[in-house]
Amino acid sequence: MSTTRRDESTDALTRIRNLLGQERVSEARNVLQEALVSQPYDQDLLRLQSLLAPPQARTSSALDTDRTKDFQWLSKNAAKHRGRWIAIHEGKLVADATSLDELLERVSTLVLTHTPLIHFID
Amino acid sequence: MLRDLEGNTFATGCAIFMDTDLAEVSPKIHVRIQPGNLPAPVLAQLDTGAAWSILNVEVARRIGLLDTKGEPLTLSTRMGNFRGKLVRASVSLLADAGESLNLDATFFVSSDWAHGTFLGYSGLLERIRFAIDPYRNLFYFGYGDGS
Repeated sequence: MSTTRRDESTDALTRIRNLLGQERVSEARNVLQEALVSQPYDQDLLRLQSLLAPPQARTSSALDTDRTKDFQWLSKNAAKHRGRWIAIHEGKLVADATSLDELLERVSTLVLTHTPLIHFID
Repeated sequence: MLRDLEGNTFATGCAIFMDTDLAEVSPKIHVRIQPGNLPAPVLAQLDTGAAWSILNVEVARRIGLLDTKGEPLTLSTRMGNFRGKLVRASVSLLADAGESLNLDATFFVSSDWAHGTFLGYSGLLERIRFAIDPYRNLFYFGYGDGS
């Protein structure tokens, strides 16, 4: 890469990062697209292109189970569990812990009809 | 599921959402997502006003995102400024009826973000068609690919 190209790339990256820091995402994308026209193989720009791309999605036939009872439990009891990770199954608290890893370890020892809903009560 | 005025598909999935006041501040809409290979669904707050989606640090660590190369960013939030990075992640938006959506989306992750998980606009909601039925607490959603 020539010095000029490298300077252009650095300049574009700086501008994009400044815009992202100000949450001006659309403008950052515009600067990125302009920069990629002259530097289509710049690895930093290409990495940003994939990071700033709109989401991709595909549908899945996998559905979640009915969590109505779990939501009801949370409505009544969440405030008592602030700062804790909790697992709820069929409207009942089945495990709680101070960390997600600890919670998942406890859940893995349980025999449940389906996966519990897990949540951190902030 | 839901169709627009021209009869095209608007939403392909539907899920009951939770809007209880979990943090004793004000009610917010929480939907279910399953990030990466996490073995169970978690709740995420819908936040159309947020520039980016954010994953709780323990969720991000569990699915290996804290070790992923990303774009460094300092995010300004109501909890203060957090240094972290933007990364691409796989997340399923779970439906109770219709179809769920498996997304490849952009998230902010930070080793200091020990708060909730949020679904923000850029890199995620910007391509999701959604509608809220507040009377029945139903969240309708589909992927808007411009067609």
